[in-house]
Amino acid sequence: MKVRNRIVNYLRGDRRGKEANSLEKEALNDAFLYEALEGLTGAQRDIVRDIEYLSKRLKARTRSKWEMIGKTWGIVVAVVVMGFVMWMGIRYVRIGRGQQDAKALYLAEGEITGEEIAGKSDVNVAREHEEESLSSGNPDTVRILQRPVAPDSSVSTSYGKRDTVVEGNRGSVPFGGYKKFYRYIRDSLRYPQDALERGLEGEIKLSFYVNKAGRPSHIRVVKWITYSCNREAIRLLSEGPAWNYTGDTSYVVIPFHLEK
Amino acid sequence: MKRINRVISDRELLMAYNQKKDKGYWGVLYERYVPMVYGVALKYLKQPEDAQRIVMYLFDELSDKVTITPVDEFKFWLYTHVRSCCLKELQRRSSDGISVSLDEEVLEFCDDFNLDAVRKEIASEKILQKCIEALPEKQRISVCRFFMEGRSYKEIEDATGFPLKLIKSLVQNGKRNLKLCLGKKGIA
Repeated sequence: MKVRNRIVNYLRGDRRGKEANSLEKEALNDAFLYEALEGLTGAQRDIVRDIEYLSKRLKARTRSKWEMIGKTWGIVVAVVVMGFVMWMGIRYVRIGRGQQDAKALYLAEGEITGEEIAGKSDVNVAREHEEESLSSGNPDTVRILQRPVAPDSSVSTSYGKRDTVVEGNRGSVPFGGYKKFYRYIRDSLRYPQDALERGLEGEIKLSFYVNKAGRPSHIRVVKWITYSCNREAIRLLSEGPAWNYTGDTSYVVIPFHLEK
Repeated sequence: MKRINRVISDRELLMAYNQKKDKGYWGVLYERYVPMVYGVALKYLKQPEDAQRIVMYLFDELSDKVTITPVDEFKFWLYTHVRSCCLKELQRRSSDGISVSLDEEVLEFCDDFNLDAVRKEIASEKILQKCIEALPEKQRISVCRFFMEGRSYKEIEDATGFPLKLIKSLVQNGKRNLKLCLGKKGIA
C-alpha cells in the first residue's frame, strides 16, 4: 500500500496494531516520514479532512488545464460541425429522404446516357412551360401534361457512352452526374404492369423546372408511352437526386426497355 | 493523460512529466506526498493555514524545478525543499532576528539501521539479546515491546503508562544504544 494511504489509515485509526507499529518503525528510518508524523499527530484537528481538502485543490489545479484544452477543442469542433451542417442544409433541404442515401451508391460507369435532338415541338412546349410556370403560384406541384404528341420517329436516340446533356437543357445536371442518375433510374424503375403485359417500350421525355432547393418541379411529359409509364417516369424524377438550380427549363429522358 | 491503474513508480511519473509536460503527472506524484509535506510544514509552522499554504506553494514552485534538475531520489529531494521552505518561512516570521533552526536531531537518529535484519540472523540473535539486557530498564521495556512484540506507541502507552513522547524517545535512544552495542560486538 502506498505510504500516503498508510499515513491516512494511521491517522484515521486508533494507532494501535501491527500496521501502526510498522509505520512507526519505518519512520525511525525515514526522517521525512518521522517529521511528518510528528506534525500530523501533534495537531488537534481533523487532519484527514485537511489532506482531502488539499488533494481536491490540487486536482482542480491540474484538471482545469486539461478541461480548458478539452473545452477549447470541443468548441472548435462544434462550430465546424454546425457550420458544415448549416451549409449542407442550405444546399440540400430535402436530403433527409431515404432515397438520397441510395443515390450515393451509384458509382457505375459507362451507363446509358440520354441524348436527344430537340424537335420543334419540344421548343414550343418549353416555351409554354415557361409561360405557365411564371403565372403559377405554387412551384412545388407536379403537373402531368398529356399531350397526344405522336412518338416522333425522326428523333434518334443513342445509347452511347457519351456523357452529353439533353439538348435544350441549359446546364441543369443531376447531382452526381448523369451516369449515377441513370444507374438510379435503372435500379429504381418499376415497370408498370399494363405496359409489361402489352410489351410496350420506349422513352419518356420530361420537361421540368428546378427550384432553388434543387428539386424538380412542374414536371411535364413531353414524350409519352402510357399513362402508367408517365406516372412512373415522373415518380422517378421527383424522387431522384437533386439537380443544380439554373432557372431554365430542363429536360430528361427516361428509358423504358424490356429485357430481351 | 490516461487513467493510471497500476502502481507507477515516482521515477516513471517524473519521466512522463518531463517528456509530456503534462501537469497531470506532476499532480499525481505530488499528491502521493501531500500528507508528508503537510505534516512537516505543520510541525514547524504550527498553523494549519500556513502549512496548507506551503503545500500549495511548493506544488507550483517545484513543478518547474523538478524538470530542470535531474532528480534521482524524489522523496529526499522533496524533503530538503520542504525543510528549506519552512526554514525561510520561520525566518521571515521571526522579525526580532532570533536565529531559527530546524530539528537536526531527527536526521541523526533516523538511519537505516535495521533491527529486523539483525534479528533474522541466528548468530547475532544471542548478542542482540545481551545488548538488550544491557539497556536501561525503561528503554529495554519500550524496545522489546516496540521491536520484538510489534506494538505501536499507543499500545505501549496503554500497557506501561509512559507518556507518548517519552516512549518515542525511549525507543529512539534504545535503538541507538543497540546499534552502538552491536557495533562494538562486531555486528553491523
